[in-house]
Amino acid sequence: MDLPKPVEIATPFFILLIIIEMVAARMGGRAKFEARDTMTSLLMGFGSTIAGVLVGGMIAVMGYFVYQYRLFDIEFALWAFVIAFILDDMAYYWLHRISHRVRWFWASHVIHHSSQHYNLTTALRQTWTGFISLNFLFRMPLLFIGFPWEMVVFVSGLNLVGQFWIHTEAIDRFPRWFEFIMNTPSHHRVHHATNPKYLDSNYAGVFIIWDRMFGTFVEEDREEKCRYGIVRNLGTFNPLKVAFHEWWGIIKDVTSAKSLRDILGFMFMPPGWSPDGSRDTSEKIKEKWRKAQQAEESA
Amino acid sequence: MLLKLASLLAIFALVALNYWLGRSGKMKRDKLPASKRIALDLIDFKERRGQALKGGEDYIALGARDDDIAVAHSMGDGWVVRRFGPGQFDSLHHEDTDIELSFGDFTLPRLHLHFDSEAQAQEWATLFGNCLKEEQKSKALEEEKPYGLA
Repeated sequence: MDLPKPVEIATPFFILLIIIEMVAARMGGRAKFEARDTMTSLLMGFGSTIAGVLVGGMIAVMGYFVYQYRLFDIEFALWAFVIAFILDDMAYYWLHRISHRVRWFWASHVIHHSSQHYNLTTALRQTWTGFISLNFLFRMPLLFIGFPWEMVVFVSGLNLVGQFWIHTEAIDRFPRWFEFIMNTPSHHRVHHATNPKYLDSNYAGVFIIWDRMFGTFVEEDREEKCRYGIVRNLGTFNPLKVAFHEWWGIIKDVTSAKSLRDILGFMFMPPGWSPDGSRDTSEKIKEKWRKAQQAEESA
Repeated sequence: MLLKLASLLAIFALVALNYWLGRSGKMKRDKLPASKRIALDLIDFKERRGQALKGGEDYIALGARDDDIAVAHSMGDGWVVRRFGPGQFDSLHHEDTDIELSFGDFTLPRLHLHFDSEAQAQEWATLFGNCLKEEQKSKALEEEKPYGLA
């Protein structure tokens, strides 16, 4: 079945919305832009598209291979699209959560978090190396269940489109019922924030219910303004350095590791892990923050 | 085809607008002062004293010990914060009111710090020297040029 490509259709609208947000920011709106940061985001999006074209064929071959061993024959029906969309969103939640908790996946995903700004161009700041991290594996269970390849590609495209608009400070909050079910700019601002209180939360793609179900939901606090980026922000706008900095870090650590345990730790433990505990993982940062809060309260 | 053309045109328009805004607009610096940013980013860093550098572009702060130093480096409209401890600098060059530091950071491999006076630069060069790699310290002593003093 020949299905439309959601990202291709949405692209001119993405750009139009970015232009509107930029002009609004210029006229004193809530959003904030920095020209070099924006350019880097656009180049990362461009590079990601190229990388997608280069490896797309290989992923399709693997997809068809898995589909051969499917459990069910699922037809192209509306109910199947709805279920595929929901399951794909749950698969995205787990991929995203692991992308923050395992350095091998983080090395690709960190690119999306590397801007200190939070505007619609941040949504375009995507990885070039998702194939190396094996991100595509998380979509394979859908094919194994029996959802056709074209359907999986279509719903994952829809999912990506559904995540674009939440990258903005221009929208405050929606009615409570909407904020309860859907991932919104408010929830996703929290996800992009480096404030210890907000670290490792709100991994949802389209439906925030996954975070509520799996215990990773954190509400945006009006008293605690989000600071965006990563805990050790990048000192460059160079897209090549942005794309590969964490991979470079892994190579450096692995080549200086003293044991196999350390090598595996540097690759697959949470970002910030080190054998002697001298670096900060997000847990350690949160712990320090909690202690500082307690000390402040008791003082 | 029409869709692809529209996308391409929209991207060109966006890049042009971004370029124009970047050239014509005055950059709005992060409202958070650098010292506050250091305090927020480095939770267990206790600033003993700080120094805003020439033009307010960078800020350096001394922590609880003389070899515990934080730098808030201005990048674009925000700050990039780094904390340094013993043995972290590969080299340190000090000349007049300027200090150049290099360290193994892939995205920020070196820092050029510009001070208002030579005395300030000298004082901080001595402090930064505490964070030099051991072999660099001994090299500097051998050459009788403390910390790569030019």
